[in-house]
Amino acid sequence: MEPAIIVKNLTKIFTRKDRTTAAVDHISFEVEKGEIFGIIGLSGAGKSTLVRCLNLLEKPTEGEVIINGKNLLQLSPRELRLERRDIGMIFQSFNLLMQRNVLDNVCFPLEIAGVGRAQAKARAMELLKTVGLEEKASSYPALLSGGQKQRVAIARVLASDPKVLLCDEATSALDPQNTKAILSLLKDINQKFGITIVMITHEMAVVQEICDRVLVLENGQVAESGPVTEIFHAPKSEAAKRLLVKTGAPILRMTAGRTVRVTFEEGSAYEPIIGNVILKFGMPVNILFADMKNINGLGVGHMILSLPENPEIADAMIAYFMEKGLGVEDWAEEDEQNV
Amino acid sequence: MFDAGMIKILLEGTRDTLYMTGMSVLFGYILGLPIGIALCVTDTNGIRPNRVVYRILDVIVNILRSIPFLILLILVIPVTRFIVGKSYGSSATIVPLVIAAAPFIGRMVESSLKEVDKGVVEAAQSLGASDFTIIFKVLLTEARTSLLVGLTIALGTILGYSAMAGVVGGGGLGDIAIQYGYYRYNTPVMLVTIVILVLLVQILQWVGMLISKKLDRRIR
Repeated sequence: MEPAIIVKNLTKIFTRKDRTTAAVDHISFEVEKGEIFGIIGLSGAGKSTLVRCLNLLEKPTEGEVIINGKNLLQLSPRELRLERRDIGMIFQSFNLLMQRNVLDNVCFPLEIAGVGRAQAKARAMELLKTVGLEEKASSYPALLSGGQKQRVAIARVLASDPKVLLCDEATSALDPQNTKAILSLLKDINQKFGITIVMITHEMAVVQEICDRVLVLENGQVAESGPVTEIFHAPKSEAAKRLLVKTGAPILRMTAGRTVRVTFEEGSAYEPIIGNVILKFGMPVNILFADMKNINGLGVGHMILSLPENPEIADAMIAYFMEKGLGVEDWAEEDEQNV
Repeated sequence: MFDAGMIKILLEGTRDTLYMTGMSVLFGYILGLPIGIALCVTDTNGIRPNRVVYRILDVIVNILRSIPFLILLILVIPVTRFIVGKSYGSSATIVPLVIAAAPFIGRMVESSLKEVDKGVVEAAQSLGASDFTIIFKVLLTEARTSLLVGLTIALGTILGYSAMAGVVGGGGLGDIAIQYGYYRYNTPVMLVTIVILVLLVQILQWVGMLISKKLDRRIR
């Protein structure tokens, strides 16, 4: 099957005064049909520019973007407008028409497509039901919460029946509850309508929640890419590590012993492993960082541990973790020396 | 002093002032609205940037706006004669008023349209909207409150300009103030015309703000 999105050698260079910066630097990747593909990076990594190049809101300096089998850079302005109806986009700031009510916002793409008023209204109501906002049809966006505004934006983008949906930090302006709700709505849409989704985010939690594969972006280049679980358990790049452990400051080493990152998958943490390891070896371990979630009574997530200085005990502990089904890797931060 | 004849003159003066203001603002928008749209669309951050078009319009608007109205009034007399057939009276005054109003209105339209959130314009583009659709269904609609405030300001300003035209026999309340108040030392008549002008501006301002507030959906 042909991929939904093919990006080849994409480059976007910004020139300001006499300084040029490559916000996107020779990036290539493919997104399969029906996939939820994450693009993650810290702010300034170039992810917003990259996604805006996918529907040519930003014109790439170099490279190719092929969506639904069409090379976007070869289209006439008219053809591009038609093609954009198949490439929906939602934004961090929702970007609703503030002087139109909710129903008319959802009708907007249908007006563009020349659908009759009555038919457009009926379709818009249907979509508002899909996102659970039919009772807000005659409200104005100013009266809605952030989560509700994003639902309207999703209903609006669905109105033109897109095959691909680009999400530019779609949950970054929302609180955790609304983020969860919007993510599960996007997942529903992906499954129900088979829409391919590209998620731009700076939050690993978002990627872990709904993405199949992820591309880690740093300084406009691909740091690494692969299945989300793979990158979670064995991040290779510094960028991915930093995104996994977001503390704002480097993690301090407590002892001279080894520092390891252990990952808990669903099914691995039936017992209190950290407690047991301390009891078993009679030596303390320090938890330097932990990000654990309770999923159906199981601990899922990751921890960074400082192991005892004695290398034999440390090795035995690591063997114990692995025996219990945990992922273990050595953890070092690049800028550790500077601390 | 305020006999039936005088009252009739004042009423006719008010009518002429409103006629000049209304027509000038109407024609001012017919010319100024497209200028404002063009200035917004062709600017660097616009939906169709065009440096040459922007620079040309920008310079024309600046030149016209920098000529004092009283000078413009005299300067365009040949044009006025050509269009209206005479250079005095209310209808003739409309010509310089439109020439003064159009660039002023163009600037106000430009600034109103530039207030529209760029994100909303991008959302429309991502939905496949044409430039035409974006101008009419996004820019002009989203900026309607600001555009109405601009209209209110334009009406007030042009009303003031129309009174100035009294100096060259422009008709309306300004004309009356100069004819009776200045040349014939009839101060009470001059004061009454001022009161009427003040009231007109007040009413326009009040109604304009009321409507623009009523139409704004961004207010909770």
